[in-house]
Amino acid sequence: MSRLMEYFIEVDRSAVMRAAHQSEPFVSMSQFGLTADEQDALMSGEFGRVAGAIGIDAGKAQLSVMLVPQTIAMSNQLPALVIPQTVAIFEQ
Amino acid sequence: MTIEKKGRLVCVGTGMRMAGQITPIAQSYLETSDVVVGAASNVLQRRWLQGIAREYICLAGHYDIVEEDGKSRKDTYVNMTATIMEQVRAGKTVCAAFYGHPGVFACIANMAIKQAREEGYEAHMEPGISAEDCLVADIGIDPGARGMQSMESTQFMIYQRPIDPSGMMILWQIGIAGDLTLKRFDTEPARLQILVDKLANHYPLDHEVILYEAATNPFEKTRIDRLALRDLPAAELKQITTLVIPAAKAFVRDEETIAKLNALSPENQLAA
Repeated sequence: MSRLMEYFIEVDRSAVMRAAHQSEPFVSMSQFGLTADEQDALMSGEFGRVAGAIGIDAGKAQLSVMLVPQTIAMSNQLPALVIPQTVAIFEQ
Repeated sequence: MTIEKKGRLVCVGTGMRMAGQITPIAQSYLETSDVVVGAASNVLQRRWLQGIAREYICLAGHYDIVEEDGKSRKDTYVNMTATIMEQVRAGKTVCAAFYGHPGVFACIANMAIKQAREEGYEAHMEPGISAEDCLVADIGIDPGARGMQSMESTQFMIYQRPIDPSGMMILWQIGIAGDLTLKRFDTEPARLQILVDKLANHYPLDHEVILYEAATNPFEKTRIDRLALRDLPAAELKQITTLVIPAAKAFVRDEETIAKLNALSPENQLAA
């Protein structure tokens, strides 16, 4: 796992890391061992650049995976035997 | 003597972000299961899951079939369930990971658990932090204060649902509102105008509504855009955008019920 990815994870789950990044981001990133390129990518706020710096293809990085099961909202269109439990939940 | 089936399924929620919103038990399942079958919120979350799972199978590819003739998201969900069950039937301990809460706007988890149980496998769900949880925290509207209605946008559009404008209303997936093909991942102003027209039966057009998008990593900004209801068709929407409609009317007292309650406790009357 890349150091930048580790930084994402640590800032997300550590109150200390989050506070450090919020108060002095470049000091925090340097102390964590991020390169200048990684720091620039993160501070750019561009999702594609960040993903690229982590080693994820920038094109694929733009593809968010979203579950959009509004199918279940239109429950009368569903074959009852496929997901009857789910349908029942939304018909309550 | 019955032979206990070895495969096992647990569906966990990862929260909306990367590692900071996952419960300890969900993280433990991710780390110790034979295989993690995942639907991540984005590639960063997916990379994080890949880093902690022993083996990772991504469900994202199943969305590609909506490009095929005659296929829709309905087929996607059936195929995702089949992918999960294939691993369970192979005798593995399977952790199916969904962003947010695995049982909220993620029908695959319930489908897979039901299927697994019907086939004699042990299966259960562990809760996660949902988009609704983040919304309550970020916007600061307490659902307990005035009550809350919450439903999927297209469901609201195509069914006659009783609306209560004295409480908060949340319409999910506003970014694909009105799509009846189950093949699109967006909406358009004409569909949104139909939605606004329907809402206008209950809310004034100048009523302030909120477009909300939860942050999916610690560096992403939460979207909380306030606009008039009439301006919704022109707004920029994503698949993850949620429409929040704050209460627009005062409560109306139920005098009949109040009178019954007052009759039970004459010393503690609710004032008229």
